[in-house]
Amino acid sequence: MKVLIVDDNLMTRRMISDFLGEMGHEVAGEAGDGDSALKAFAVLHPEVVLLDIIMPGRSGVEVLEEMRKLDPAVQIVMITAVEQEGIDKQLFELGVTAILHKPFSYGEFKETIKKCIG
Amino acid sequence: MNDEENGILQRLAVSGLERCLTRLSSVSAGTWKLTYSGIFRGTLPEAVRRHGFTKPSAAAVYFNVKGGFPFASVMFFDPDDTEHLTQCFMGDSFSRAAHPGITGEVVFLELGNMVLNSLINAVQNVLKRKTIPMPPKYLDGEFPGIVAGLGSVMDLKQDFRIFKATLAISRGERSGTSEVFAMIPDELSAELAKIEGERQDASF
Repeated sequence: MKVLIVDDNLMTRRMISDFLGEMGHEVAGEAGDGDSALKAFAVLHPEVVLLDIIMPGRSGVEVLEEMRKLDPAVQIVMITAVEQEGIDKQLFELGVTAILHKPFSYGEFKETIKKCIG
Repeated sequence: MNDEENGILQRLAVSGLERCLTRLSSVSAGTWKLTYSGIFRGTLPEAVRRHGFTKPSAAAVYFNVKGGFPFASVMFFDPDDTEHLTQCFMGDSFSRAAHPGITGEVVFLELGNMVLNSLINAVQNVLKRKTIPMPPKYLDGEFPGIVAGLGSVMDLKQDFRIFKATLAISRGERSGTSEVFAMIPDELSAELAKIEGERQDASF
């Protein structure tokens, strides 16, 4: 499964990359901000996007909206420290597949990714 | 100061922080504990002077939440704890030497992101509002320089209710300390107390 990791923190991207590696999935690409994420998305056509909310420039919510317009079928998992009822509700209304709140364990990550694969 | 408002604020902040620290302890290699919390009145410079660090310098991660009820929060770290905190979060198998781009700044920014967002989340959920903060910012150096840097996002002369928490992050024999300060304007404190009062009235 091809995965695009979008998070402005390098340590978090490394951790997620390691988790995906343990699961046997391919990291198709990484991005540290919304504009880079949208460029990578257009080129790589990932099956799953792991997307942070708080980033420089565009927020992950804006990126989610754009990616949904470009590919209604892509699985998008928000990975974020933002845990507010109003925002979670907004994300599901915008078509997010799942939300993983930081900090999370490898086990929680694995379960969430397995649900994306179906 | 209004003791009732202080009590409500402290309970809310502690609840948010402890939720985060419990999760950090269960998902990472370290144990993260709240060892102190308290509320006092003062300006940001006065708050920073009340830090418990013995060294003259530190690293700081801070958020400034804008909107109807703005507030700022900052988390202080000891730069000498970089390796220890990285191991606490990422575990033994992770080596910063193998990832030179993962500097102390990167480590502290993500830890600060999680801990400070737990406070922001707690406040926003009580207010039934939603806010996506701007990305956290980082400063390091001596404390007067850090205060001057924080002055770019907050009024250094404004008086606040200040929530302070001390965290102990331990693994094996080693322990590190971090401090959190949240500068709460009176309007926000009053609103949180009003909502809590209405909630208690409704439950009777």
